[in-house]
Amino acid sequence: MKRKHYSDRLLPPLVSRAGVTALLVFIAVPVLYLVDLALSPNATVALGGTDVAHLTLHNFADMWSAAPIARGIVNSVIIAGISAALAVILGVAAAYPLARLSFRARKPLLYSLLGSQSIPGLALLLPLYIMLAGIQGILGVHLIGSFPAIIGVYMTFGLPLATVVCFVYLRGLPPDLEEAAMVDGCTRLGALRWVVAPLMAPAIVVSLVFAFLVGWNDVLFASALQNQTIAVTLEQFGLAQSEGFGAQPLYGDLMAAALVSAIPVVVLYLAFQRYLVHGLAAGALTGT
Amino acid sequence: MSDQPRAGENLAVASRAPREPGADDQGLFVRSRRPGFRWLRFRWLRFLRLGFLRPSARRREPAVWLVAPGTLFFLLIVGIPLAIVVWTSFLRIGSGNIANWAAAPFAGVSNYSNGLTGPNVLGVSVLESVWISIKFSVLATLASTPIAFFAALSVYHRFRGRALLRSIYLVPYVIPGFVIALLAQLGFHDTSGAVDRLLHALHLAPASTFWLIGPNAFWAMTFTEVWEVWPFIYLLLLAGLQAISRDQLDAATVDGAGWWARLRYIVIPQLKGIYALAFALSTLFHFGNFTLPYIMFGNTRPASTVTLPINIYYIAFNGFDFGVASATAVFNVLILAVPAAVYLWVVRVRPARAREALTAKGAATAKGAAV
Repeated sequence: MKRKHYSDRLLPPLVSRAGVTALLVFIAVPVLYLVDLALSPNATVALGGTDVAHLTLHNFADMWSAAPIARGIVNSVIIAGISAALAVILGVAAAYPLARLSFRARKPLLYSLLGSQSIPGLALLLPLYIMLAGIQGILGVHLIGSFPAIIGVYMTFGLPLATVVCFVYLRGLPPDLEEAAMVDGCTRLGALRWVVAPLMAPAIVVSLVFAFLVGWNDVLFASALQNQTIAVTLEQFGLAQSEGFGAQPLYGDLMAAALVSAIPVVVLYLAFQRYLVHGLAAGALTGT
Repeated sequence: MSDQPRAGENLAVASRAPREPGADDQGLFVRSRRPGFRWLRFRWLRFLRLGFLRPSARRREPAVWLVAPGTLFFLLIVGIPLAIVVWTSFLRIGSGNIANWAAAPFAGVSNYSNGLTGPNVLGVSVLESVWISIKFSVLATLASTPIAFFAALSVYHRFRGRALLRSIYLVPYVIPGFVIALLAQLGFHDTSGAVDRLLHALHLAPASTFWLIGPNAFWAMTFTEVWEVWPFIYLLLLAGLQAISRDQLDAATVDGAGWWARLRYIVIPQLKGIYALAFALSTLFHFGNFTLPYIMFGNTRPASTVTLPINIYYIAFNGFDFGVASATAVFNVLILAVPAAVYLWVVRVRPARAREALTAKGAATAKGAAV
């Protein structure tokens, strides 16, 4: 017998429509303002910049010479990319025993993954900074401002996330497949590589995206450890504009560069939104 | 699977049911194949055998060692620094001896007693900053709640364009924080910024209201934070909504319950748990937000926006007083330990909450929360 379909609305249609409209305006106005500023000449932006009749793409051509934007983007892609790839490899490796095997350190490790949530970034930045400064002094190598140091830091911050995403996903995968592979003579590591890893592709992609964003969005560690990522480049560019008395502030260029650095992130996020919201949230709640 | 006798030995490890811990503790030591370790049969020396990584199944499982590299990095970048920051909070470290900090003179508790109350580079004491941070994070969470709750309810039922609307709701959250902070700096600029122009056009404020300096700055910062981070609570509430049984809602509809009755007696009671979690995590997240105040008030730095992370950063990297900065950071850890302990306790007593917590952690980390 076919089930009768009841309305599953949680709000009356009128309230819902009015509220959604208001919410869309609330979301859209600042976003449109950003786009408008990015498309307006510098002179207009300095005065407020809502002159929709004279939009131009000039800023997107000029911004590269106004500040080292290209270098910032390249640095960010290298730093965030390498740290994300390493974080995901280590995360998959760590998630597998946590999800499938039982050993004494399992619970403590899971709790420290969760507990690390509440450690403030500065409580790690200060000791890391003086650790690096100390090692620099002893070994005479350059660490503060170097790629390996910041990559190691971002990798470790992406690691709990990658581990957790893969852990949750693995708990939802039946162990039968890898057991079958092992019955057929595969070793456990072989089963992980050839059976489990391909099945975990969605979790791996999601953790890769998230771990990448950790490095892309961070300002605190990059600015203290003196790495010219795109975030730090824009921060310094903005500071120079607001401090430059008398000179024409290049706010149009600044906003164009900000838009350029935001678009890939928004696209990445929205492309994997289904996994983020549905896969992670709903799946994690109802599964296992 | 148990009808495969050869593999059965192996599969016992793979079985997802956790085994009784310590069921065969004795076995490993009695059957030790390495004579060199025979002296380790003394119980109290067991930790030297790294027994904590030993699988509790009878057969050794080398795959357990896969957690080792990750754990090692975690200890190196999180564990050891946490220990060091406690140590340096009792040392006197200035700009001269940062590289040689291990030999810095001992300062006793003076970093705590003077550092937390005394004036510093920004002229805002640490205790004042704590109060600003608490106000900021709790207000931002409270103001986000109705928006997030409404947004989650509005995309629960099926309709054409629901996926698109859900994507749009995420847009403020996915724009990088530094972009939003730069935009807010321009938008809240006096006279020329969008906010002043809008308020003036509506005759709500004079043409030149200052938002980037003075006490108004706090509200500008809180508003921006709410705009940016409300989808975090929305994500969690939506996950909670989807876990509510549709049969229960249908049954209520059959019995004549209107939307308000369903909301009041079915939805809200079942969302309480996840909202508590969202409240705790969102507050923790706001508390640690460094990017927004740092960039938005880059050259003005009004006293009303000196949150705790900003204050610590300036003590360390402008005042070069790493001892006091460490003490303040330890103080910060201790403040956050209270909600964190409650949060871990909630996760422990209700394992179902653990998965929600993991989801939330994913969402928060992706936004750029430090760890």
